[in-house]
Amino acid sequence: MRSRIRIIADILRILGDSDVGLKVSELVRKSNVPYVRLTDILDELIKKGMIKQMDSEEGQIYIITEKGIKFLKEYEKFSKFAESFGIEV
Amino acid sequence: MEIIAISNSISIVSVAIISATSLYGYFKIESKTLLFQGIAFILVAVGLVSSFFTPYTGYYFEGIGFLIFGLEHIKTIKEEIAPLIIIPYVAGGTIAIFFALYAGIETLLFYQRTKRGVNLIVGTGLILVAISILLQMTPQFSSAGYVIQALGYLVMLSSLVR
Repeated sequence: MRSRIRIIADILRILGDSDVGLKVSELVRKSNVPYVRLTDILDELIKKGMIKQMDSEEGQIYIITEKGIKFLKEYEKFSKFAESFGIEV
Repeated sequence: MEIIAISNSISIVSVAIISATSLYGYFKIESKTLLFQGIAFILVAVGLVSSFFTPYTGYYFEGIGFLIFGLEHIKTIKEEIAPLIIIPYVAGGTIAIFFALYAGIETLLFYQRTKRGVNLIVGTGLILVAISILLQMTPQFSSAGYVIQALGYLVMLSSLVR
């Protein structure tokens, strides 16, 4: 089972890979996180300034921010550190 | 006696760095796993420091530290592992040996999955620490135990150098 922090990192990674941002339905499909849980996490990430919600022609989309990119880099670094001790963050 | 003090000091510094890195990681990404790893290694460090003043009582701290570390392994990895049987000699030390060995073997099993050299390094370091605690409890090999302990923590610490 993925931890919450791992799900957050996966969501940020998916958003980071997208040039134009993603709709919530695309995020549900790509992250494999149920809608209710995903929207809860997205709200948290918006509050923390790691992602932002924007209006587009296709509806509301989510985009990763600089803070989100920075967090993702820190996550990758400490995830590798924990894994080198045989545990997962 | 001097070699014990030097070796123990090297171990304390190595463990303190591992602990500080874990706690720094917790503050950066709010991972509870890193928090518990940091606390676990703080307790190991406390155990090592207290062994300067009261021999053997430090094992209880190390035992609790490795218990927390071992539980994190059980919680996050869940590899299948053969039961480990260790004859109790000194209760605290036995707990420390058990969980250091458990975490070490599991880290080596984890290496089979990830094929990352760092897992091999840390797994070896943990097993060296487990062996060192056993040697420290054996009067004839006590000094060697402290040297191997320092070596074990240095091996673990070397995983940070990339």
